[in-house]
Amino acid sequence: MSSPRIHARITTAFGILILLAGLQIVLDTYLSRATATASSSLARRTLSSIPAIELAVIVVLVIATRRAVFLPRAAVATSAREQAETAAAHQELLAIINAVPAALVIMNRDGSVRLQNNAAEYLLGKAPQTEAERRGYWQRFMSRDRSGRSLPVRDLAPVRALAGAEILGEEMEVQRPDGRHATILVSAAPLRDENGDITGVAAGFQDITRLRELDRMKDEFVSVVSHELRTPLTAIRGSLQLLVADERAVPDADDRQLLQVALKSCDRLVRIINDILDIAKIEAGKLRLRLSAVGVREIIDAATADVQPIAASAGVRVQANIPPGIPALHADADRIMQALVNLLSNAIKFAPSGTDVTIAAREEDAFVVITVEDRGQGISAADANRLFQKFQQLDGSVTRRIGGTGLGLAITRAIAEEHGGTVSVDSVVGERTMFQLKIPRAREDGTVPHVSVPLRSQPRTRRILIVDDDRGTREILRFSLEEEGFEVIEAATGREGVKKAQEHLPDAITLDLVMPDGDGRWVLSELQANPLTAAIPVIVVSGAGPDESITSGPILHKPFDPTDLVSMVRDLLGGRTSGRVLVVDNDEDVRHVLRETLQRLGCDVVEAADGREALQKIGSDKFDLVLVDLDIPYVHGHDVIRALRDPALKRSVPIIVLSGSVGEQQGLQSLVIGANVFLSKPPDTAALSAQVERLLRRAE
Amino acid sequence: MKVLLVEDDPDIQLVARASLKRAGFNVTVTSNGPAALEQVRTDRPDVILLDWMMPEMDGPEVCRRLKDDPATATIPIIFLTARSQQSEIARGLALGAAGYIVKPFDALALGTQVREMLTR
Repeated sequence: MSSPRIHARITTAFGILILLAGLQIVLDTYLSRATATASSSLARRTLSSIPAIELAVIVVLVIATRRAVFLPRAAVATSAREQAETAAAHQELLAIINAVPAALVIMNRDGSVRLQNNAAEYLLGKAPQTEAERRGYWQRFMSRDRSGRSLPVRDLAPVRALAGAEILGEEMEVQRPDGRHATILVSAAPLRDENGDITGVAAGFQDITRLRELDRMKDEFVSVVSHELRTPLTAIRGSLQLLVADERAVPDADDRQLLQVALKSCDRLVRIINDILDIAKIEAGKLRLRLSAVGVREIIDAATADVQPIAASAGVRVQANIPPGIPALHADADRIMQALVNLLSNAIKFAPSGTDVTIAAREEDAFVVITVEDRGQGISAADANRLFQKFQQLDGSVTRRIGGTGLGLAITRAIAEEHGGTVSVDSVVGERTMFQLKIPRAREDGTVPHVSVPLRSQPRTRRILIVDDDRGTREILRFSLEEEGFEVIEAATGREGVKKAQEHLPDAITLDLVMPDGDGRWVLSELQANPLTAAIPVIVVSGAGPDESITSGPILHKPFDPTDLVSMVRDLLGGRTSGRVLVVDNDEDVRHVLRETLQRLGCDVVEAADGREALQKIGSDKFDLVLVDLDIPYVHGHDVIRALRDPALKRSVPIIVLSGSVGEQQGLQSLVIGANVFLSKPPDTAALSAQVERLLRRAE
Repeated sequence: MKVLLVEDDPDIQLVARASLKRAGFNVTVTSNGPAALEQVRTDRPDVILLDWMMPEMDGPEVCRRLKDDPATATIPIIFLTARSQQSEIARGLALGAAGYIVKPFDALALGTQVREMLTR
């Protein structure tokens, strides 16, 4: 490749990086103004917390690019002087790139490294030269989802950029050359040639290990301080309560009023501590929702009753307006209660004495919208933006009069967003203010709809590439795999197979050996040669006799049984789990469905039709997982859970509670007494499988 | 009804004792885990209110030892603690506690709460 072309590409690369960095500034500004404080998103929060170093990178890059923009034009220059100038500019550019404190890497289409700076070498090691080094270089990148499960190579940010995605500030882990792990923030964008075809990737990495550590220390600090504050507060509050309640101890009415003031302030301090703990948890991304179907009327009634005392003392009436037939929410009951109480107490604070605060609900697409309206002074659009930030109270005088923690709305927003919903405000100054809380609804039958499950907890579809020249074989393979929920891509020749493997980065490949235009051997060697595809497991589908020499992986002999294929694929993907599972349910059909699902995952299933049978089997057998319905004959599901959580037992068996008719309160109760997961009946098969796999893996 | 309060903070001892007496309980107080284990043997209480964070031996350990000993396993234990995280509550109950009360507790309702937890 000629030197001017390298320059052109480097220029493009940095153009993109600057664009990314610029976007980041815009995003940062936006986030810090609008959402950063309440945002529960880890990546977003990290972005907003490191603007200074980003800024430094951008400044350096801007200088670099201003030097570089005219370089392509210099390519036409022929004179020795001009050539020397070009070389000098090149040197200067490289020096600048090396001085940048963030790691910068430019990669080719095949995953080899075209250019990297000093910071990248420090983080990832020397740019790989040989095939083996290349593989090692890529294996340093580790990506995990929220549950800590590692993601396949094709989900790595730089690899997704190769497929055309622009990545902005994603978190990853890398293993540094010295073996230590580092948490990094990645931005990456594809490089394209004149025709728009992707030729490589420009990626920037920021080591945020230290920031993460500081973050963790902050969380720990907040938690410890909050606990330490609780002890003296307990003593103060208890003493005051007992004194105020005893008229003989404090006979004077004025004195009792003073004690009331002290007590009220004490309660406020307790609320602030609870809110700070909540915010700390939210910011650490540790707000875990326990989702179930939550009745709208019930939760609104409960929240209204909770704020009744403060409404009464403010002379405000709370009116609920809930139309019949409103669907249940798909939500965490405790957290929704908290959000509604926050919105109601906020409205009561600002409502003039003698007016109403109205709480209403309506259905809107896949959501239920709950509105809380007051006839207070209203807020301007400019102030509305600040409203959901931490410690933002718009009017100091009101704060002094009414008191609040300044965290309630930030928490409410985080709760809404964690549910996949929103909270917004609409106000006419001098007239009214209306808050809207939008939360995904449950299905008609009270079960949880598929769509409203937060995306990240949905198991990802596995993608399988079938490489076979015989259409009939491809169809059988496709049919058996698709039935098991795999996504299937086909290729009819070896050449096409290699191309599709690089494009789609499948989770596994089935490969015919005898094909025109690139036979199986050739395909295997091509796959091995590319670091992006080398790690993809391959099942060789062979029509000829045994030929073990070609592959160390599994071989499927024609004619084959489709179930063998499926179990082979599952084995390869690690999706196959093993374990002994006890299913406790009095409904035979339900047991049947659960048995099928579990057996497909590779589990041994033992069934019990009632609580008594369950306890017997728990006593005489060992299980890796227990699925239990709460509403079962003879012994309640809760008592089965208690028996499994008996401290005398050495092992703690994971428990999934499946519940149909019984209320979510009981479901929550089952979590409190020790169940790991609570799923509404009928459970979504994908969700159930994901939980079973997770819990069995954890038990290993 | 006899209640044993295991709590290292003297101020909390005072408030909790007053609150429980007001609710008609007969209250004994010990300031640490080993003393509590000793006390339970000499004068068996009807219920134990147990702090979590204490020097020498923490609440969960006291709870575990009481539940491990057949002689004391049936005495209901209620945690009374500033540990308020969901995971901590779950851990306390998993140890076999009959209830869990988070500090700051309601001094006017503590006795009622304890009685309710015992009838469940």
